[in-house]
Amino acid sequence: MKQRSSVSIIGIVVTIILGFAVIAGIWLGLRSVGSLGYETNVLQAQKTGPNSATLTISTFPDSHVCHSTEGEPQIDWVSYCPLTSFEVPPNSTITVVIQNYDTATTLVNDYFRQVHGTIGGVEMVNNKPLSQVDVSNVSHTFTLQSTPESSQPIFVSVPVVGVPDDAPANAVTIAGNSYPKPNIISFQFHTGAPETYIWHCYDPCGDTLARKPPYGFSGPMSTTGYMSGTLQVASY
Amino acid sequence: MIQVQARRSNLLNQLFPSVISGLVLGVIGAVVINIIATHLQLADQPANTDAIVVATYVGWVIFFFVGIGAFNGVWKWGFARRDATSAEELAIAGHGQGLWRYFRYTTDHKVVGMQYLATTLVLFFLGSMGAFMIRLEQAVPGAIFFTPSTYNTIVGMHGIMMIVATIIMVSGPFGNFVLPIMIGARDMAFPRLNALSYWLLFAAIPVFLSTLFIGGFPTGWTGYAPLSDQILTPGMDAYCITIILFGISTTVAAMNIVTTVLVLRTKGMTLARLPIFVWGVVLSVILGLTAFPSFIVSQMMVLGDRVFHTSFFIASYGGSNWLYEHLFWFMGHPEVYVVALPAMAAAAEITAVFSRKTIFGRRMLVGSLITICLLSVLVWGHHLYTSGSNTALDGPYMLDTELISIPTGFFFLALIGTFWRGKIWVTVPLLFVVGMLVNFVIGGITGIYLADLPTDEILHGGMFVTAHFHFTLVGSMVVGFFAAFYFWFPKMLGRRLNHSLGVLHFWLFEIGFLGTFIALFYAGLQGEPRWSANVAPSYATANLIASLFAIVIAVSVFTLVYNVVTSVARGELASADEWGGKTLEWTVPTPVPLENFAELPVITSTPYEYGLAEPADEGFGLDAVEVPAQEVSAQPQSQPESGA
Amino acid sequence: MSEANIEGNTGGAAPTRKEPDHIRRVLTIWVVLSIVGIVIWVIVSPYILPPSASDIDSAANFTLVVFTGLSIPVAMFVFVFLGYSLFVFRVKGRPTEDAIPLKPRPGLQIGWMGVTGALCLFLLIWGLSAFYQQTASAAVSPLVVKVTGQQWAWTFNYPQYGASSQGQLIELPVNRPVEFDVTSEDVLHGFAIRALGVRVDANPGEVTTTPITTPTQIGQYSVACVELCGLYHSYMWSTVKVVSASDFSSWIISQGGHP
Repeated sequence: MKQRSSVSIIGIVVTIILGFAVIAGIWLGLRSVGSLGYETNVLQAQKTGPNSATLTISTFPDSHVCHSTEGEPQIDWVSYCPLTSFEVPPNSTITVVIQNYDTATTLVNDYFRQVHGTIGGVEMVNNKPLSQVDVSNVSHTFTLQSTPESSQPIFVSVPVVGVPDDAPANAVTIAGNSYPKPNIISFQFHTGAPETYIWHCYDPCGDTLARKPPYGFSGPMSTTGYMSGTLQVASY
Repeated sequence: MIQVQARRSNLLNQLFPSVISGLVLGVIGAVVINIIATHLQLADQPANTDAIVVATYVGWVIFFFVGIGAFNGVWKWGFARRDATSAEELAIAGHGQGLWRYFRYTTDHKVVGMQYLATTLVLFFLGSMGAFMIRLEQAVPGAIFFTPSTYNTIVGMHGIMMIVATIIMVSGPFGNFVLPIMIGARDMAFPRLNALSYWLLFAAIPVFLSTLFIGGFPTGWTGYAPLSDQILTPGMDAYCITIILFGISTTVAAMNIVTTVLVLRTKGMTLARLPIFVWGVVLSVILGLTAFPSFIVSQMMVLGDRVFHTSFFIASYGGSNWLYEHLFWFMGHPEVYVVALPAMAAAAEITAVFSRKTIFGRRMLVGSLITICLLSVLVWGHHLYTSGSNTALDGPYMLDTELISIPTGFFFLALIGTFWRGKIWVTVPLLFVVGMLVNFVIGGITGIYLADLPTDEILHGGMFVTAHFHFTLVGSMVVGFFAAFYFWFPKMLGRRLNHSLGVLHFWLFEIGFLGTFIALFYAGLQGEPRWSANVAPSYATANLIASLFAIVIAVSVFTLVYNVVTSVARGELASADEWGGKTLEWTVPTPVPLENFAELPVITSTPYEYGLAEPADEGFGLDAVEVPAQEVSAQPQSQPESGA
Repeated sequence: MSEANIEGNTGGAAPTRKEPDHIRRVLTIWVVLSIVGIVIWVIVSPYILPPSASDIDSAANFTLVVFTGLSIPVAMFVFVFLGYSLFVFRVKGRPTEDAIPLKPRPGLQIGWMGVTGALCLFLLIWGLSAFYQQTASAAVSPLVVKVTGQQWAWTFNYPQYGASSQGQLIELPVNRPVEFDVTSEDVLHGFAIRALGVRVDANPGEVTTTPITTPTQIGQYSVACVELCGLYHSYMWSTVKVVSASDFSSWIISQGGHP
C-alpha cells in the first residue's frame, strides 16, 4: 500500500512540473511568433550631453525600408522607422527629430492639430516654429502618453506635417526606394524618473483604400513596429 | 508477397477514410484554394487578404470532409438511390473497428460522445493554459510577459475556447453517450448528422488556432464591431469562420437531440417519466436553436464588412455598432443558459443518486427549468444598459432579468430538499455538486447587482462582471461538468477514477477558484476595467492575490490530468452499476454494447423511486419485454420508426 | 420540510422519539449566522468600497451595501442547509437502504415563490426608483463636457466655455451638476468614472449621455475605458480633478476658454 501511494505522489509531482513546463513552452512559443507584435530591438536615443539626448526617426509611406522582408499587406503599410521601441535617459531634455516622407491625411479630431506638452509649446517644421497645423496638412502624429496612474504623467503630441501631394516623388533614394524630399520636424520634452510610456499616431493613416474610420485607424495604426510603440525612460 | 500486399491494403483501409486522410486532404485543399485565390486578386489594387484567408478556410473545411469520408454516403446511397444495408450501417457505426472507430466518421452515439469528451477536455486544458497566461500577465503592473496585442489575442482565445467547451461540455459527451441509453433508444435519430456535428467542431479547431500565426484578433471573445471590422490582421477572419462552423455544428446536434427525445423514447417512457437530465439537455438545445443563428448571422455580417466591404456596423457609412451588440447578446445571454441547463439537470440527477432519495419537487424542478429557458430569451438587453441604445427598454429588461432568479430559486429548493434527510454518500461527484451550489449562490447574487441599473452603472465593463460570469460559468457549470464527469466516467470508460485524487482535485480547485475570483470581485468594486493588459497600480495587490490562487487552480487541473491518464491506463475496472443509480444507463453492461440493449426495456415509473415500502427488484419497475419478430442484433434500430 | 410535510411511505407512523428537530436546529443556525454576517458586512463595507465622490456614486455604493446585506441571509440559507445535511445525514460508504422520500407541500412552494418574488420585487422597485431619480430629477442646466474617445485617448471639450483639455487632465467644479456627452471617432469605447458613478459607451456616429452627476468631494479621480478597443485599451486613461469653483474658473482660462 505504501509503495503504491509513494509512486502516485511522485506521479502527481511529475505531472505538475510537466504541466508548468507546458505553460512555459506555450509562453515561449507565443513570444517567438513575430506577427503577434514583438519587437526585439530597442532604439536608444543618442546622448548629446549629461542631461540631453536626441532621437532620430523617420516616417515612410510604405514599409520597404524598415520591413522589407514582409509580404502583403504589411509591405504597403505606413511606418515609423527604424524601430518603434525607444529608450531615452531619465531627468533629461529629449530632442526628437522626425523625417517625414509621407503625404497628408485629414485629421478627424481637431485636438491633435495642436502641439501639446513640448518645451515652448512649439514644434520646428523645417526650422520654422509652429504651434498648430491645418487639419488637412497632417501626415501622422507622434503622441506620447502615460500608463494608468503613472507616477510621472506625460502627454506630448505633435502633428507631423505632410509632404505636399504634388512634390516630386523621386527626390531621395533610400535603400533602393524613391521618396519625395522630407519635412524635418523636431521638438523637445523633459523626462523624469524611469518609467514606461506608450506612443502612437492619431492621424487616420491606416487604410490604403482611404476609407473613412474605423478603417483609417486599421492596419499599421494598431501594430507595434509601424505606427505604435513604447518609450522607455531608463539609464544607459 | 500476397501477405505484404494484404497488409499494405489493410493499412490503406485503416487510414482512408479517417481523420488522417481528412487532415491531409484538408491541408492540400486549403493550399490549393489559397494559391487560386491569390492569383485571382486584381493587379492594380492591394490584395484582399481577408478574402484569400476566408477562401482558404472554406477549402480546408470542404476537403477535410471529403477526406474523412463524410460524403461517401452521398455517393454510395444518395446517387445509387438505395438505403444503407444493415451491414453498412453497422460498419459506419464502428462495428469491428476497434479503437480506429474513434478516429473516423463514426455514427455510434457512444463513439461520438467519447470524441466530444476528449475534445472538451483538450479545449479545457488549452483554455486553462490561456487563463494562466492571463493571470501571469496581470500579476504585476506593466507589460512583462506579453505585448498588448498578444495579450488581447490570448484573452480572446481563452474566451472562445472556454465558451465552446462549456457549451458542449455536458450535452456533447453525456448528451450523446448517456442520453439515448437513458430514454431506451439504440442510437440517435440521425446518426450520420451526429458524426457531422462532431467533425464540424473538430474542423473548426485548427481554423481557430491558426489565428496565432496570422496576427491574432483584438476584440476578445465578444468580437465587437466595428473593432472587428478594422483590417488589422486576417486573424479576425479565423474567429468568424470558427463561430460559423461551431454554430452549424451545434444546430445540427440540437436538431438531432430534440428529434431523438421526441421520437425514440422506449415504450412507457412518457414525458412525465423522463429523467431530469434529459429535460435539461433538451431545453438547453431548444434554447440553442433559438439563439445561435443570431451568432452565425452576426459573424457573416462581420465577414461581409471585412471581405466584401459592406458596412453593416460602420457608422460613417450608415451602419451601427448597436446592431452587432443586439445580435450578439441575443445569442450571448441564452447561451449561458444553454451552458447552465444541462449542468443543473446533471447535478439534480447526481444528488438523487447520492442521497438515495427522490428529487424533491420533481415537477417543480422541470417547471423551473422550462421557465428559465423561456425567460432567458428576453433578457439580453441587460448587457446593453450602458451602451446608449434604447434606454427606454432598460426597465423591462431589468424586470425580466430579476424574474429569472425566481425559477433559479426553485432549482435550489429542489436540490436542498433532495439533500435534506437523505442518506448521503459523499463521493467525488457529490462533492462537486455541493461546490456547484455554493458557487452558484455567489454567482447568482452578484448577477443581481449587474442586473440592477444603478449598480450596473458603476460595475459594467469592469472586473466585477468578469468575476461574476466566472463564478457562474466556471464555479457552477464547469464544476457541474466535473460532477457529471466523475459520475459517468465509470460507465463510459469502464474504469474507476481514483477517489483520493478526485477529492484533492475538488479542494484544490474550489480553494483556488474562490481565492482568485473573490480577489477579482474586490478589484472590480474598486473600478478595475476588464481586458487590462496593463493593470493599474491601485489594483495590483488584488490581482497578485488572484494570480497566486490561480496557481492552485492550475495544480488542480494537472491533478485531474494525472487522475484521468492513470485511470484510463491502469485503473480499477468499474462495475456496470457503479453508484446504484436508477436511470437506464446503469442497467446496461459496461462496456456498453453496440446497440445498447439486448431487448428494449418497458418503463413503468420515473427513475427516482427510492425508498418505497415494497422491496425494489433489480432495475426497479423495468420489465423487459421481447420486442416482436425482427432480427434485433442485425439492425441498428428495431423500433417501428426507423432513424435516418 | 417539517415532519408534517412528509407524504412519503412512512405509513403515517410518527418519527422515532429520539430524532432531533432538524428543522428547528438548522433554522437557528441560519438566523445566527445571518445576523453575524450582516453585522460583519456593515462594519467592513466602508473599507471595501472605494470612496465615492458624487451623489450618484454614493447612492450606488449604498445600494451595493443594502443588496449585499440582503443577500447574506439568502446565501447562508443555502450554505447552512447544505452543510447541515452533509454533516448530519451523511452515511459512511455506500448506503445499504434508501432514504424516505419527501414531497413538497403546496404551501412550501407557494411560500417560497412568495418570498423570492417579494425579494425580486424589492430589488426591482429599488432599481427603478434609483433610475427614475437619476433621470427625472436631473438638474436643468448642468455643466456639459463633450468627450471624444479615440483609439486610445480621451479628448475633452467644454463648449459652454470654449475650452479644450490640455494633456490628459481635466477639472470639474465641486457641487455643480455635470453631464458628459460622449462619442467616438473610430470604434466602441466605454467612458467610465468610477468615483463619480457614471459610465456610458462611446459609439461612432452617435452621441450618448451619462446621467447627470454632482461631484461632492474635492480630489483626483480616474477616467478609464471599459470597452475593449484594441491594442492600448488598458492605457486609455485620463485624470479628473474635482476642485473649488474658483480654481475651476482659473483652469478654464488657462485652457483658452472664457469664464
